Amino acid sequence: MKEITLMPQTSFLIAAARDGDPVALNQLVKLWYKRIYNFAYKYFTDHDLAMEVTQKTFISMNKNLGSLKDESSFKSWIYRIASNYCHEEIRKQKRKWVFPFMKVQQSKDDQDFIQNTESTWRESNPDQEFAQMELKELLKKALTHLPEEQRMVVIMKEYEGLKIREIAEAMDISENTVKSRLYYALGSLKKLLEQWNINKETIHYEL
Amino acid sequence: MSYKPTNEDVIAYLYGEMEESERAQIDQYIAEHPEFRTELEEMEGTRVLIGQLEDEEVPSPMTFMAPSGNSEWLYWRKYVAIAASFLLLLTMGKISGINISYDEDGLQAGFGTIQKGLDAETVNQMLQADRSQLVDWVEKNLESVQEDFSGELQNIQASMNEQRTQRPEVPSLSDEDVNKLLDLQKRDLTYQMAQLSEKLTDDYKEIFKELYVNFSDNLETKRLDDLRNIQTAFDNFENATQEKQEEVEDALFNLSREVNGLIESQNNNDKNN
Repeated sequence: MKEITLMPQTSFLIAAARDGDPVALNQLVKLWYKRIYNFAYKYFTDHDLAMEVTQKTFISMNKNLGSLKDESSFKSWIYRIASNYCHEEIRKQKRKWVFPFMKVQQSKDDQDFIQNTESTWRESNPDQEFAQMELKELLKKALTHLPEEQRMVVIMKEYEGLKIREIAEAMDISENTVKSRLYYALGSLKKLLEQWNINKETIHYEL
Repeated sequence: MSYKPTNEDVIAYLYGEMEESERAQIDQYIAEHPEFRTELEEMEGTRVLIGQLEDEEVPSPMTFMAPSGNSEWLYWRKYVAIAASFLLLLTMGKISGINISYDEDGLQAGFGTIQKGLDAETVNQMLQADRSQLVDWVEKNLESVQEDFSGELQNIQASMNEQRTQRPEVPSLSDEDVNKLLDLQKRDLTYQMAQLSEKLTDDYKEIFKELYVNFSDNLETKRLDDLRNIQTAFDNFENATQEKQEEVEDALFNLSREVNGLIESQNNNDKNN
């Protein structure tokens, strides 16, 4: 887990940006752009959707920064905006009608992909960089297997380093709900990774 | 001790977001339950595994356009713009010599010096002058027309008088000639009439003849029809009469038989008695 040490600068920048300092505003965007993009990217595993959500989030941030009462709650505030846009995108995607055979095609691709990677790992001298790339793909795939609400909680906790209380604030749910979602999400992930033969040994072997 | 940490407790412990007191409780539980320790270790392992997923490189972040720094100028800008446009308007007006004024005669606009329009009095005078001119012209014209007319009339009268004096000179025919002409005409006319009547009688003869033939034919057929009808009626009557006669004969025969029967039975009765 990466330690997110953006907050000290953030508080200062928020104050300046609220006073209409464009440099501070752009600095604030620069500081958080990568985080929000990665948050959305892990949620969708799709660059375009992630960009869409990121840009909407920062436009909304710029517009509503004045309404942010407490600078220390900026983190949950901005993730709340981002997660709302994520939900919106998901709703939009669901509304789109997809050809059934395209769906079938996609899931078949997934299976093929997983089988291929498994066989690669059993080989005696795997190309390390290639394998590393595949591990990344598999982990992304594992995330997409989680239900949306569990996925979001895991991303916020594991990759964005939010505190349980902050996640609860951002998602407008109780802390206990956050905890139980995390519990089940970790359980499902563990099962999935075991199924795909990914464990500490494989990682260390590759690294 | 019946303490067992809930799923939520496990997560809070795992992420180190737990109250100190509860933490001690769980530590103790872990010490007592090795299988719980393995569960925690497995979860920790999963976290390490998924932690391998690194951040994506981001395309260069968006930038918000910095608005112009001089905010005072921003505030005054629109007023300066208004003033500038006004000035431009004035300058253009001066250059083109536009002149706009407003007094009791109304709003006036024009290039260069404004030439005042006519006032009501002059307009009235002009109207009057125009009218009198028109009346003069009409009167003059009428006079000339009258003159022309009377001249024309005189001319006509003169010519008529002339004609009247010339009339007796028309050549006249003698009575004899007239009679001859009339006779000629009469004869012509009678001849034409005779021809016409002849033609007509011929035509009529044809028509009447045809009519007559048709009529006689028609009469003949009618008569034959009637005769035939009468004959059939008689035939019918005859048949009917014969039938009646036969019926009467039959009836008489039956009657006589019955009477005979009766007589016989009477006789038998008499005999038996």
